[in-house]
Amino acid sequence: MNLHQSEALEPLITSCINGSRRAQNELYKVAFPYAMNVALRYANDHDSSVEIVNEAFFKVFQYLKNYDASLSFAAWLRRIVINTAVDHYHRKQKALTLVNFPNEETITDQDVNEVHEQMDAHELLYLIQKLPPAYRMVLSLFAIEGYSHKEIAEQLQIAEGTSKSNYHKAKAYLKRMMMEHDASNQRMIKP
Amino acid sequence: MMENNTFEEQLNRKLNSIQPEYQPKYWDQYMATYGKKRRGLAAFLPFLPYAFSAILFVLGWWLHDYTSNHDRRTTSAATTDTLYVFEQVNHRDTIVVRDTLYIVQYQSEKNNSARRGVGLGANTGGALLTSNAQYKEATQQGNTTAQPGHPPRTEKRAEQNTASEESTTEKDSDEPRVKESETTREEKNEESLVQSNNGTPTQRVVEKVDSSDVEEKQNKSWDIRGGVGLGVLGVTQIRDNYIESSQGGAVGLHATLSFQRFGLRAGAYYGAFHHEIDDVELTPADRLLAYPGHALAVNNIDDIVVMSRNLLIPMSLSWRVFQQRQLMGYAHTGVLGNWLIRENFRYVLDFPEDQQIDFNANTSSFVLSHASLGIGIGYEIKQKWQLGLETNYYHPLGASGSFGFSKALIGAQLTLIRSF
Repeated sequence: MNLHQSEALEPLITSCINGSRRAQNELYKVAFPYAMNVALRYANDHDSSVEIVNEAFFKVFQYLKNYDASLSFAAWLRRIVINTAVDHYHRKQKALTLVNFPNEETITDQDVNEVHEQMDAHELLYLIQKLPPAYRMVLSLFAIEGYSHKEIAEQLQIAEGTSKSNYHKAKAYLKRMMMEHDASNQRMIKP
Repeated sequence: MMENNTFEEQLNRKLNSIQPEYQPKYWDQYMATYGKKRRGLAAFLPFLPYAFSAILFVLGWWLHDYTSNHDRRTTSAATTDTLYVFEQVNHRDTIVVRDTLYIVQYQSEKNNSARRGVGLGANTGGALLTSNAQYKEATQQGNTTAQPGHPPRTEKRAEQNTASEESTTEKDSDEPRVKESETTREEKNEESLVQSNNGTPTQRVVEKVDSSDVEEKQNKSWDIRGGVGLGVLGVTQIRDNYIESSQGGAVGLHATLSFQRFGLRAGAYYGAFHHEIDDVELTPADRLLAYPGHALAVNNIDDIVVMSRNLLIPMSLSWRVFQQRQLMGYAHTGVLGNWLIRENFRYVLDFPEDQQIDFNANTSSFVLSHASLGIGIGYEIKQKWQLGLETNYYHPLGASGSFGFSKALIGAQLTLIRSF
């Protein structure tokens, strides 16, 4: 069953609305990979991502009767997962961790792009999860979800300028970690 | 800018390529955290029997307490009356009818009994003799001699007391007279009567006499009572990941053989019960195996609903803990016999399509299914009827069809009993 085919999901969604636990389990199975994929970018580890996904599904089943079947279910679910992740951020990780800001000038964009091409997706995700929460939230919302800084500022309850600043710092920090990670890998390959 | 876009596009592409795998443990975690919350208000419905039982218990407790306090207040007022009358007794010329003296003393004794909590409660009230002037006027007019409508035994008592009355009038002091009258009351267990100003017994006096009748009845060593009962039983058990609930009602007859404070009760009640297991996929197999009708043979069962019809045979030994006027409290313990007449199973498959599988079972088995322990309150009406409310805890002794699924049942019962 494809999550992006809302029509195919209709019987399942109807059963979920009627309170069928089995149908809910089925929808959970179908939608879990997609929801987890989104949640992983906002959490700092796998367990926290599962927490976000489960809380998001609780909201999904609770408000499924309000879902407009003419719209994409995947998009609706994605929005709920992101909102839940932001709630998690507010509840648990609001305090911004102070980090030593790397000197971006020492890293050229060409070097970064080369590393980017070679880096595995899971390695990249690992590095993103290592980012300070405030940086990670802005980076994911802006670079991946395509939110504007104004929207991010509203969501995270920060100034728009702070959102821009955090984004640039997050990107610089990520690039730095990517380079360090690549260098570390090179050392492992060349004894 | 171009390079920045490349960086973000690459980031986006790579992250979107990650496809986390679903594992059943994630759903288990979801159910453990949120599985019970989705039910909302409906989740509280199975708990109604608990709430009803708790209300009954509190009501009984409160009534007991209220009655005790009420008697205490009445006792104080009666004591004041008694003191007042003693003052009148000091004026020997005001004693027109000697019975009055005995009555006053008897009331005083009864009030003390009530204060100790062993009597039926004094009921004289301050309104009977409102002032010295009224009392004096009434006694001088001789109104207190008339006793219309009073039971014959009052007259008998007056006759029996003649000797002691004469002896008291021969003495100067009131003290010996009081003693004499108390002795007479204790020896002959006489009834009391208080006169109103116009010489007719007041309503309170009539009640007093009735109360004495109750007391006399209580002194009987045994009696037989029979009655009808209406009961509700229910329990909900929320386990780790699934919910089992049982609710039902029963109506029937019972009879009680009472001996002093103790009673032996047996009855027959016809009941209908609704049992349900939600989230069958999370229910351990050993629980499902106990269900007849292939609970494990059918895949994708979401809920199991069982309607059972039972003949319940409660047998219990009761003990009257207290009795104050018409109100009594009692405790009882016993066993619940359970004859399972018929069970109807419904297996609900609501996904991928709504489907129900019905299965009827005629089991006709009888077991002593539960041990019972309970408390109740009763209110006597006109000494012949008793309205009772009781709450019971039933502990399972062994499996009896769908009843065996209930670890325990909580019950509340309304009874109407007729004394013979």
